[in-house]
Amino acid sequence: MNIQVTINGASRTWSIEPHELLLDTLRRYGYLSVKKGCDSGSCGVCTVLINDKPVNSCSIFAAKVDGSNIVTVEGVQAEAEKIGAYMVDEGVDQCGFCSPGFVLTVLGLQKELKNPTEDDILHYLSGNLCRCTGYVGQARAIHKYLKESK
Amino acid sequence: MILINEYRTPSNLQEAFELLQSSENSAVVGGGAFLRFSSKKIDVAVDLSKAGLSFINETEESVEIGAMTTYREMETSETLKTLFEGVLVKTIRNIVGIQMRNLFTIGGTVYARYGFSNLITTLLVLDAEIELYKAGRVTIKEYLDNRSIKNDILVKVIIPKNGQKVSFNMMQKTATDFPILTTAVSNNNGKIVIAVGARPAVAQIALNASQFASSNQLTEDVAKQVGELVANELSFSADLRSSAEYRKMICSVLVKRGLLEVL
Repeated sequence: MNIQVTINGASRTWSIEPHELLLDTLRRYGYLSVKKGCDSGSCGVCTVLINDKPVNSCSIFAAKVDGSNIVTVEGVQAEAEKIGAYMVDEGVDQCGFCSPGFVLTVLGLQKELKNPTEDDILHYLSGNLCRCTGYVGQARAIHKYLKESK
Repeated sequence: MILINEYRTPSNLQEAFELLQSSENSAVVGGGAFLRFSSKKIDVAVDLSKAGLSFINETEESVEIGAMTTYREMETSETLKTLFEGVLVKTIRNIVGIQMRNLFTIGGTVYARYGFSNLITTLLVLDAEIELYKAGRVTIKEYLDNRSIKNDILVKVIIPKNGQKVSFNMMQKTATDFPILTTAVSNNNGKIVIAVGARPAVAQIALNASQFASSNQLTEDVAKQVGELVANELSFSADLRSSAEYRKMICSVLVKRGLLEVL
C-alpha cells in the first residue's frame, strides 16, 4: 500500500507493508538518525515528531501516519546542534545513540509547554533513556537550552 | 510477528463496523502499540483514527471519553485534572513515556482487557460504563466478565459523577515500568468498592471485601483487616515481574493505604 506524508517539510509517497512499523519505514527510506533501540516502546531512541507530538516510531504502524507531518533530526539539524552543544557543555553527551530521540522530545516539549518547570522537564523526558550519563546533567542542559531559547 | 493483509482507516463508525464484519480475522487498531507485538494474521485492520472518537465531554451527570482519546490527551485534560480529585490523571501519568502515551488509547486498553492496565483498575471502582457500537452500554465489570462480547467497536467510556472519593496505588520496579500490582478504592457515601489489577490477570473487584468495608466503620485496624480480606479473596499468579506470594503480600498493604486515603 502507499501512504502520503510530509517529512521534514517535503511531501513524499512511500510504499509500505500494511503491518510495517514506522521506524522500519523511516530507516528504509534513509532517515538513519532514527535509531532502533529496545524496539518495544521503552527507550525513546526512535522518537520522531508526528504532527508536533513525540511518538516512538517503533510502536506505530506506518499506515497510521498517512497524511501526517513527520519530523526527524535530519529536518532540525540547527536545533539539534544547539541542544547538543548545551549537552556537551554539561558533559552529558557521550555515545550519542540516544541524542536524536532526546532532541526531538525536547522540541516536542518546547512546542507543548510554554513555561515548563524542572519537574515538567523531567516528566516529559522520562521516556528517553540514556545508559552513558546520569539524568541530572541532561536536565540541567535542557533547562538552560529552554531558558536561553525564549 | 504480526501480519496484516489490508489496513483501512474508515471515516465513520458504520463503515468501520462493516469492515470489521467483513472478515473473521479482522481487528480494530486503537493506538496499535500493543497490537504490534501480536503474532496474529489479520485480514483487515480497522484503524479508528478518523472515526471521530477523540473527545472528552463533561456533562452534569458524567464525563464521556471517546475510545480513541490518547492517554496524553487525558493526562493534559483540565477536566480530568480536577474530576475525582485527578485520580484518572494520577493513574496514567507515569505509564512508560510521553511518546507512548501519545499512542495509547483508552479504547484500545479497555477493549483488549489488558491485565497490566492501571486504567481498568480505576475505571472499575468509578462504576464506569462503556458504549459498544453493536452491544450498546454495559458496565466495565460486565464487559470484563462477559468474554462473549467480541467483534464490536468500543465507542466511548462513560464515567458517572457520583461524588465518590477515589484513590489509586500501584507497585512497580521503576517509575515507568509495568505494574506488579495496581489497586483502586472508591468511597461513595460509605459504599466502598475495591479493585485490584495486574494480578497479573485483568483487574477485578473484591466483592466480599468491598461489602465488609462498606458495612464497618473504617479505622486503621479495619482497613488492615479489609486489605487482608482482599488478598485472600482474589487470586494471584506469578510472572517475570513478581511471584504470586509477593503480589498477595503487597495487595493487603496497598488496599489498606487506599482505604485510608478515601476516609
